[in-house]
Amino acid sequence: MKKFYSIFILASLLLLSSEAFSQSPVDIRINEVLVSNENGVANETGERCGWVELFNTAYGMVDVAGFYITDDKANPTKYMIPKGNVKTQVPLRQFFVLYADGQPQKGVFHMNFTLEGVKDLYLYATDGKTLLDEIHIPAGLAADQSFGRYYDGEGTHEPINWSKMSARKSSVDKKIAADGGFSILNHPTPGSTNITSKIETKSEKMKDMDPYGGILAITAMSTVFICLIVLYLCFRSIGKRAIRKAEAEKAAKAAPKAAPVKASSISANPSNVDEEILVAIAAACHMYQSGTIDSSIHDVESNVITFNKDLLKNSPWGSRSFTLKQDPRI
Amino acid sequence: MILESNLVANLKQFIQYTGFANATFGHIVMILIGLVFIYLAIKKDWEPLLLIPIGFGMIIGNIPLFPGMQVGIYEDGSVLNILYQGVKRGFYPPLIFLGIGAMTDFSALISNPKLLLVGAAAQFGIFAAYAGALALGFTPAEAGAIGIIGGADGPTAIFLSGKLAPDLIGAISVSAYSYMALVPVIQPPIMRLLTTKKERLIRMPSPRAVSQQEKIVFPIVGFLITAFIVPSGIPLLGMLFFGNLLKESGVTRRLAETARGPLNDIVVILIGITVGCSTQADKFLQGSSILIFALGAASFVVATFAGVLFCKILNLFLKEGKKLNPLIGNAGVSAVPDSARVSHVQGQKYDPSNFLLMHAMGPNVAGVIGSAVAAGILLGFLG
Repeated sequence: MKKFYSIFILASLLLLSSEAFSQSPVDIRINEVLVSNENGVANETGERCGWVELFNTAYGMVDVAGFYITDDKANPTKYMIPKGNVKTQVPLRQFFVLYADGQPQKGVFHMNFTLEGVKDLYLYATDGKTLLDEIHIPAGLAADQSFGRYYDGEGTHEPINWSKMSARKSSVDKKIAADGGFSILNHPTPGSTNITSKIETKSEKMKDMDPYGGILAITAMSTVFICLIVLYLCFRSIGKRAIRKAEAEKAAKAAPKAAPVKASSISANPSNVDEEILVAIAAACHMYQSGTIDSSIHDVESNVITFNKDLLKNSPWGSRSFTLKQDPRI
Repeated sequence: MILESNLVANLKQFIQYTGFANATFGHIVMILIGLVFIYLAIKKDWEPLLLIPIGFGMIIGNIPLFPGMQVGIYEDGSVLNILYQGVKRGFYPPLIFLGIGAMTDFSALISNPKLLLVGAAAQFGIFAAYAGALALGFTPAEAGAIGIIGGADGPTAIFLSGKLAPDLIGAISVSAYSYMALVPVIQPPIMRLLTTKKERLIRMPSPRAVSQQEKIVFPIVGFLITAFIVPSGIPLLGMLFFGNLLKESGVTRRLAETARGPLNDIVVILIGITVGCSTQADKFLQGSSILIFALGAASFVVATFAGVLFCKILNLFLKEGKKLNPLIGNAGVSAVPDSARVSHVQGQKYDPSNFLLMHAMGPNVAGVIGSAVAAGILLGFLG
């Protein structure tokens, strides 16, 4: 019983901790902001305005209701994300967009200030005191240019250990290291990933690597041959073994029969031909002479392919004439 | 007055929905092509099991539609679109391979396994067409899908084009099936060109009887070897060998009969009709389709060349009495059993007592395995 309680408490703690982890507000980042929207995506009222995109970096849902966004550190509770709306529950690794049009009366996700002239933007937790994230918007951002993290949720304006990102070293990372992971983005992506660089498909890689198809042809033909050569060697060996086995069985079958023939001087089969073969020959001769061989008789033995057309037209599933394709009439 | 104007408006709206109002020259051309397919199938017996469903599918798919009525094959949620998912997502071809496995006797191949190599050589047509398609400006993925026409295997062509180039699926599948029907026309001149009269008269030793045990071992070992080397071919190879095991195990007769009978027929109907429907004029009547047909023909020619020449090369290393008749080389393309029948018919022209059919069935079924392996390789490299 004691053991049961221990397991129950442990399981409850695990559940609670995972729940707490999935709801952690520190996993929310300001991912991208657009100050001037001239030709970009319109909001639900059909108007174009600046916007702020949040990203949930956690692998669990986070509810952003009650979080605060402000452009003034002295006034951290300037705009509160409304409560009571299911859309504030941001699923794992997903995005949440707020419209910075200064018209909160237009809807629940319309902020009460615009981003015109804003230099810094801060995200505070529901207590209005805990700073969760901040972003420093560069001056001179052109219309329809957004500013945000090059990789969703990654980077900070504070110094961080870039060696953690060693698994993805590239020229882009060097750029990130210099600017804290933020960049001016020429392709604003409200509600979706900031990574807009084209991912090269296998086909595109192959085009660069093998523009004439020679390498693929040689590789693929070699693979086809290797595959079928292995199969050939395997079945040659299996076949040889089967032949040896069949011969051994035949010899074993013939041996006891040969002895009595030798032992007795009287034999009905002086040529030592198997009696079954003699019966088969006799039956065939009889059928041939009596004219009973006709098109309805066909072989069923393995390795013998007949040309006789199956005349059982009432049995389409079993009929060879229905299952095999016919020669075209040219 | 209001009633009259409403009636006129309704009538106008109705006319807008009719095929007559939406017909284009392309629709008419495609309907005529569909009718030609049906004619060839009925009057000439050219692959009727496929050309009739495809031909009628072409007619269905090219009835001019007012878009948005959720009836067209490319309109999400329409019945035809749901049936088309089997082609698009590639679950019809493996089911057909199940049927092929259940109706194929691999005895000829098991008794003379070196015929497997002839089946491998004939796959060269696939990669020649691939290189040709690249030269003509197709992307590597499209080129791979076009190249597989050279495998002379309709389901494999549909499977691969569905994965690599869904936009070309109609042209590729129609091209593959058309050339499969034309095997007796395309192959004989090449076979005659590459062989001497002496070679055509070669008699091959009769295949030995294959035990039940070998027949059971073949699909299991065959699958393990091919799938471990080319895992991307699992959907086709797995179903092919599984179907064959159902046939050869001797204890699943009902399943084997279902796989090669009703199930296979159902899938052939669905694949035929939906592939036909997918050839809508705006997608099919393009310059690329003509190029695909040209490349398909070239791949068939190269595959036949490669198969026959490989037999001749192999003969250089084989002892007298064990030599291959090069006329069976064409059967390495997997148009079962048409290409094997072509070998037989050509052989009988020169020696009526030389029965090549069962010898040709070896490379023929090896071609089925070879083209499935080749498809797996292309999918692995380009998918």
